Amino acid sequence: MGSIEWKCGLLAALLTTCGAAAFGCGGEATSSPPPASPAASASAAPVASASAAPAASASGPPAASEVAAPQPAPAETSTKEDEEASAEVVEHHRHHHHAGVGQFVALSLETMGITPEQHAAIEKIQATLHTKLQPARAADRKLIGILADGVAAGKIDKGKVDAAIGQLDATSGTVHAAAVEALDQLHAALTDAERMALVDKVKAHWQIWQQANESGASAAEPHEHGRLEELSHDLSLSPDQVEKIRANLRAAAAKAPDHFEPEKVTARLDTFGTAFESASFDAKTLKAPEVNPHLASWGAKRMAAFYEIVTPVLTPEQRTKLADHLREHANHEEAPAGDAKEGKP
Amino acid sequence: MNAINHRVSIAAGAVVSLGLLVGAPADVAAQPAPPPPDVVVAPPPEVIATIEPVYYEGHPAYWYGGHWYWRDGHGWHWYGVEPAYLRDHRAHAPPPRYHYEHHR
Repeated sequence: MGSIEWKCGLLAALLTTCGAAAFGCGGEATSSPPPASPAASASAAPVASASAAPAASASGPPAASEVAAPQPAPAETSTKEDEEASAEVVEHHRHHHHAGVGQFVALSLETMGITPEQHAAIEKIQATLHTKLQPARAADRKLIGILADGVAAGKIDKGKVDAAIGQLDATSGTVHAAAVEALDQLHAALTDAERMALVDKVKAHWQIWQQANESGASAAEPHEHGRLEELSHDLSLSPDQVEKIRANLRAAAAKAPDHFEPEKVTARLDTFGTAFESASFDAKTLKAPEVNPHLASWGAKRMAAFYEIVTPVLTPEQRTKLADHLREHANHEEAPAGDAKEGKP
Repeated sequence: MNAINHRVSIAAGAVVSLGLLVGAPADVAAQPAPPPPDVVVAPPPEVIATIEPVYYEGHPAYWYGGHWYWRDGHGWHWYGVEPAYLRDHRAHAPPPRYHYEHHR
């Protein structure tokens, strides 16, 4: 958006405000971006063209309730690499359910854009977190391995799956207490802006996790990049196979209603976010440690139930391919912080 | 000065101009309250989770869809005019996207 648009917008504003035919621009004008006005709306980007409630323009920061409704994001101009990166993070959250919020923090550290001067301190904290999360990660791997073996064999051992989920639940329940010191060190090592970024990222991972592990009857319905749609793409499922799996997913959703409580996780993350962005932070004061096992075990159950439903419908070749895919997830190692600089794990 | 804080200063600009024209005291418009930045829809979570932010004016900024996004207590915003610092940063070191999986 250029200065011409801005000048048009200002002119429109002046016309609106005082009814005059023509005015020059004020001194403040030269450095200002385009105003939100009818004149600007024809050529400005979507957000600028329609936002900013007039009442808010000269009255200082409005109360949250007075802020204009969020405007839509612009059309995405993503590349194939961008789309792959987005698909991969969804795929990651579909298959890794250890440590709950602690996992979100660990993942977020990989894309913080920290300075070279901070690398040593952050990598040390990340290594500590990695160690603290290791028991939960091992339980996660064991579960995926059991699912892979079951898929390959054509029948998933429910008893083994339940035991593995129980172990995942137990180990995830210890994560918060184990990671308290690391979280405090992390807070001390980051700048105010970096703390904001960490909170942004943790909340983003939570949103992605919810999308990736959608629950209830709606999860059985067609979605772009949905779990079944991705599986269909990866295994070249026939339309008959897709419909059969979908019918079984619907039946399972009707038979076993959800007991997941995402609002608990959201509340926990809001509390964490507010506390972590504050000048002082004490991770011990964060409540609701039960959120981690709740999140981890529920996600793991969703994943296991999906593969239990899918497996009988697959051909032997498809089962072999899916089992290999799951084993790759089981062997996936999260990268240390420093590698994020190059945008690769 | 923060470009976004100048955003949509329609009324302030009008008051300044009007004041000069009709002879109103200059101090009437001397200290206009800074307008709030527009609130926009946040970038997709997949973007925030996988892109490195650039730190500018005390907050992280995320490049998405041709704009730099940032947030404050009121919500998410974007810079209507790309600040020179961010433009230079993008030109020299485009924000990388992180890949969480090896096998895809």
